[in-house]
Amino acid sequence: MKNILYTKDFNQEINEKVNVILTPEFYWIEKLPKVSQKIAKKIVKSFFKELDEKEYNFEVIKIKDMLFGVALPKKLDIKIPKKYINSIKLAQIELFDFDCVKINNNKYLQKIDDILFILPTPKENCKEEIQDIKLSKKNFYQSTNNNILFIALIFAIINISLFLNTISLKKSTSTLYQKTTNYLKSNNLPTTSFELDSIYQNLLVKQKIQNQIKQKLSLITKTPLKKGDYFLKLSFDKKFFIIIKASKSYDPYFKKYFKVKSTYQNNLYKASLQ
Amino acid sequence: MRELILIALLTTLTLINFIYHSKAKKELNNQIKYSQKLLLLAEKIKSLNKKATPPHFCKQKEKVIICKNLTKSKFYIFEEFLSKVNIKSLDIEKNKTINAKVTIQ
Repeated sequence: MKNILYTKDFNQEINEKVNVILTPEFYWIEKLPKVSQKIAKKIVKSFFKELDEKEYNFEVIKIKDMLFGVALPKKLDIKIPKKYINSIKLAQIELFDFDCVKINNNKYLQKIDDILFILPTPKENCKEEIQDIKLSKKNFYQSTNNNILFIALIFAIINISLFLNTISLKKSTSTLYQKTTNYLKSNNLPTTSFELDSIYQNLLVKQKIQNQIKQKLSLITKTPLKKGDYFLKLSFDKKFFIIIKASKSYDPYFKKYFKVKSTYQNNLYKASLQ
Repeated sequence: MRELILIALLTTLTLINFIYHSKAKKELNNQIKYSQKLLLLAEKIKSLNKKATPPHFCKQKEKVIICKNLTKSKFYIFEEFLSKVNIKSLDIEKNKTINAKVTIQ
């Protein structure tokens, strides 16, 4: 990938991905005292008192055990289409190893007291080619990367929320299963729908039979007895058996509802009802 | 390139997560339906399986309940009790007094 040493009068047409190396025309730089980077970050603004905080970002960079404060304008106007900019770097970092680098015939980067300046005259042995230099990993104006980070953050939030929701769903499933099982156990019931359904169907059949028995029992107990007649016996075991102290046969009544086998002798009406 | 790989990885992870989440949701819904079915059956069984306590003037030995000397009013209580239990066999006799014996299921 091509390295471009970018100046304010840059006028080449770019139609491939490039690494842009900003010359000192685009930033202010100060050498900082030997302090920790943490402290340097706190004090860096004080080295650029004349610059407006609203217009500049202040950063601390470390080059070979030396700390520098850099003021970068928030709005950077580069005449290269964004899609062709791979990275934006600073000449101070990328070309620090050279005492003199040629920009064009009127501009030369020269190192004075560890800081690179643009001067109109060259030094001896000025480097003319910058394509062979090994670039640092430090990038500036990483808006693209910030967008990626933002997207990644959204993805991360979605993932975390989905993951937590999944855990909660799993927990709810397990709790519900436990509750159902406990309820069935406390009522001495089996825990499968197959067994429960079978019990239910059996009970339905039983209920139907019992309803029939009770209906028949009700018909018997509501027999319209003649005055002075009364039941001597009423029993049931698969079928009903009755004995009535009767002044007449009760066949006409019972035959309406039952299959009747009866006798009527000596004022006793005996019948088997089914 | 690195960013693209990161986004691709995150998209894949999100998809896997989403599939897993949907599966867990489906599992819960199935469990809810299944539990509702079981509880409904349990309630129906309970309602069909009612057990009534015999009247105080009767004696119970396991599934056999014997009630002696039933007056008219006691007999009504006994009849009401019969309506609440599953009858296996029944024997009511009247001599001087009414005596009843019922075997329940």
